[in-house]
Amino acid sequence: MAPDAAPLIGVLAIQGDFEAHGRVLRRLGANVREVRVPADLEDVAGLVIPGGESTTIMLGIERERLAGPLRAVVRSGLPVLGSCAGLILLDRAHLGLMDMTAERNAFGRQIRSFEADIELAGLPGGPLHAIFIRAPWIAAHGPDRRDPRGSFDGHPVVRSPGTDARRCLSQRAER
Amino acid sequence: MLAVAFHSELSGDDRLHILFLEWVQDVLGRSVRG
Repeated sequence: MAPDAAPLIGVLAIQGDFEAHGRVLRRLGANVREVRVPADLEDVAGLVIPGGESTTIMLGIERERLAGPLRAVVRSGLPVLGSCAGLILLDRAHLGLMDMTAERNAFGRQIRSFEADIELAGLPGGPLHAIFIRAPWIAAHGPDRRDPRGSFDGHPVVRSPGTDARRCLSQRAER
Repeated sequence: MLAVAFHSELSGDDRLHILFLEWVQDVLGRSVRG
């Protein structure tokens, strides 16, 4: 990928495993900026909200006055990937950007962490290898019948209410 | 928005991040992965 073709992806870097996301994104050819203050959101083409301690990350978001700017860029259509605590932070009780309620630590505490292959509707190539670490599940969500797009042990673990994400998944499924 | 309850950045399976970058590419309307 030519350097000037690489998109700039923001990775929320308050706490958690933001470095791991950055490594993957760089390996795939993206430019990565760690987001800690509102100015870091300028010109990013996408945003990753990583796993970690959701309470700690939310406190950091409030401390840095990031909640308003985060809501604004997401509502403007910025592609967002939330993982683990990132899913929690997107729910009704936190940033309020997704019509769902996450149940924290729903699959158990740290010692109950596990790996599993998840069928993600629209993702070709077979199940996605996933790691659940004090993982939440989606306890309640809005009326969209096309979501959730993945579940484990009967519990929803994937949600993509935005039309852009859904279209991208659908396009991949058609290839 | 795409939210998942798990980690794939630690599993070695990059397909979720590839999907995410393709979505970004779709929004930007230009090539991401040459």
